[in-house]
Amino acid sequence: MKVLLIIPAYNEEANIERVVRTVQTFSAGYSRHQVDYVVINDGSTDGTGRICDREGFETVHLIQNLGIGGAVQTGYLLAERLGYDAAVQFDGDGQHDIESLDALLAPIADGSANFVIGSRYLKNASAFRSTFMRRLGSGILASTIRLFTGFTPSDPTSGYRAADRKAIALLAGDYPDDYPEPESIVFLLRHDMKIAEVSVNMFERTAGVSSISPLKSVRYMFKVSLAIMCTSFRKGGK
Amino acid sequence: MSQTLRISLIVISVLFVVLVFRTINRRKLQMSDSLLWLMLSFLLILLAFFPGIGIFLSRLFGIETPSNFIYLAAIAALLMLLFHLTVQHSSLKRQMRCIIQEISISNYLQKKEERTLANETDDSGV
Repeated sequence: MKVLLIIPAYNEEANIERVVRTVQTFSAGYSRHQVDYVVINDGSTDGTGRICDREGFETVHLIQNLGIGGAVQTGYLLAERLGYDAAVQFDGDGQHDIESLDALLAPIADGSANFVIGSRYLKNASAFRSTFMRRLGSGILASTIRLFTGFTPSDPTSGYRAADRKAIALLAGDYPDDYPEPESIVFLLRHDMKIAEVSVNMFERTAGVSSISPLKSVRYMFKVSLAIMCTSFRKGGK
Repeated sequence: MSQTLRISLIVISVLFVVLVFRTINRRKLQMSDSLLWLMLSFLLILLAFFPGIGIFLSRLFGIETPSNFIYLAAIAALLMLLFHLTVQHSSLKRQMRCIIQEISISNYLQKKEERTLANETDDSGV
């Protein structure tokens, strides 16, 4: 399989070089699939873009800041256009462990799923120690998604995910804006995509700040729940 | 309807029509976007000159005074306009996102191609 790693980066000058180097090293020693990557520089105002150009990284420089949704969708558009068999979202902040990629791709490679979510909570395999609030938020989102779709994701906000050709085409055509992960799960389910979950490893952030501060989390929960509701009432692709 | 309200309505509605027309003529407002405003301003004029319409309608809806009816109608019209604007704003945002992605992707693909070409010339030169 030809796999494209989509690495969205907004003001990640502290992390991006290390993240891409890790990816390059991994794909050089990985033979099961051909793994390419592309950094989506989402109009960063710091040195992220300069670092990527200096190091010769494959980088799409968005000419304006689009936010995480628009950035990731750009990656899916590119994957679709260049005819990749699978696309993987991989954070530019170094949270995701590239060593979990093989597990993430397995359900797509054997055709048992269209979309695979890398979960922190499936087993206790991850080094990622979650706070109570994070687990609570995850739990509420998971129950909301179950209520509307019958599917219970163990890690609805995970940004470490893989898509096959069908899912790539869907997500390239329509990807939510603000807090896209939970909403896109519902969207894919509405279009009869088979979703699988595998256990992946994630690290705590090493530098920079997370996009979600505790203050914003209540607003986040409210918006996402509404979005899940709206998406689940939308007509699917049948 | 009081005389004062009537007179101010007439003045405001006439000024409003003038404003809408002037803006269209100066090409600051596209004709297709202005239809709603034109209709609204004509309705205002109609109401100002023939207050009987307002009185009749307020009775019809069981509203005590025609002025209250006008306020209600104005608020409803504004709500509609605002909703219409939000819909347009959303669609503009989507189009803008699409354009940004398209330009950024073709920039990337073009640079990539140039790089491959440069490499090929290098190889053949060696």
